[in-house]
Amino acid sequence: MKAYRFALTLALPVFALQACASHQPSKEVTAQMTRTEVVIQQADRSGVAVNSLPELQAAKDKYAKAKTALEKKSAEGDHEALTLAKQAEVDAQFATAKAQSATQQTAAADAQKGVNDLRKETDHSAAAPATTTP
Amino acid sequence: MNVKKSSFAVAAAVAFALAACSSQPVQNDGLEAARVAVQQAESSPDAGKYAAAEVAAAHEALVEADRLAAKNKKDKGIQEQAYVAQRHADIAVQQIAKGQAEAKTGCRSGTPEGRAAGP
Repeated sequence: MKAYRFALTLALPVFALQACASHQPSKEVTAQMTRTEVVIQQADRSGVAVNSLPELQAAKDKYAKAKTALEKKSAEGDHEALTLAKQAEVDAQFATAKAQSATQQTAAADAQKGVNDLRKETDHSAAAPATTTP
Repeated sequence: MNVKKSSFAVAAAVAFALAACSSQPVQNDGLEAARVAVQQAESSPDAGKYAAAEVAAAHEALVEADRLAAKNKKDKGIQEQAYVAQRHADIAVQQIAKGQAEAKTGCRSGTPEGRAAGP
């Protein structure tokens, strides 16, 4: 009984100290933060079109907030950071997807216009074969 | 007097408890909006062709949101998962539009190297 009490008095301060010691966020949180950062960087690099999108700005804001939440060094702060970072990740992915889809649609429209122009030109030159274009 | 007061308090407490049970507002607008968005993305005929991974991710997040809602309607996680589901559905819609445009042009263009579908 005495030994038990002794162990307890020893263990308590150890636990208390551990709680005070610098809080480490879980692997899940740090992994998510890294993933979000990479996705935002990718979005940044994916062209001018994406930079003007509010979704990318939202992603950056949320990522910054997540970083601030991590500085609280508490379980609550970690949870907040995880939620924000997850949202920032999908926001940035959405911005990238939106920009890529817009680019592709413009390209498709341009290609269609090119085909139409070419067709017009061939029709025209077939009608008047004497005109030579360099 | 005292007895009267306390019985009133008990009655009030019971009334409040009942009110809380009966007219609990279902504050899961986000979840329902996400459900619609996911269903729309899934029902696109080109979903499997161009956005299979995103549609699957959207579906998974929606299932998780429903699972949380079944346990506790006030769980914060419901809105979080609904947000993720909504975004994955949005991404899927964009990827489908991009794929359809690519098919029209017959080639891919304008995107920097190796950034096709994203993770």
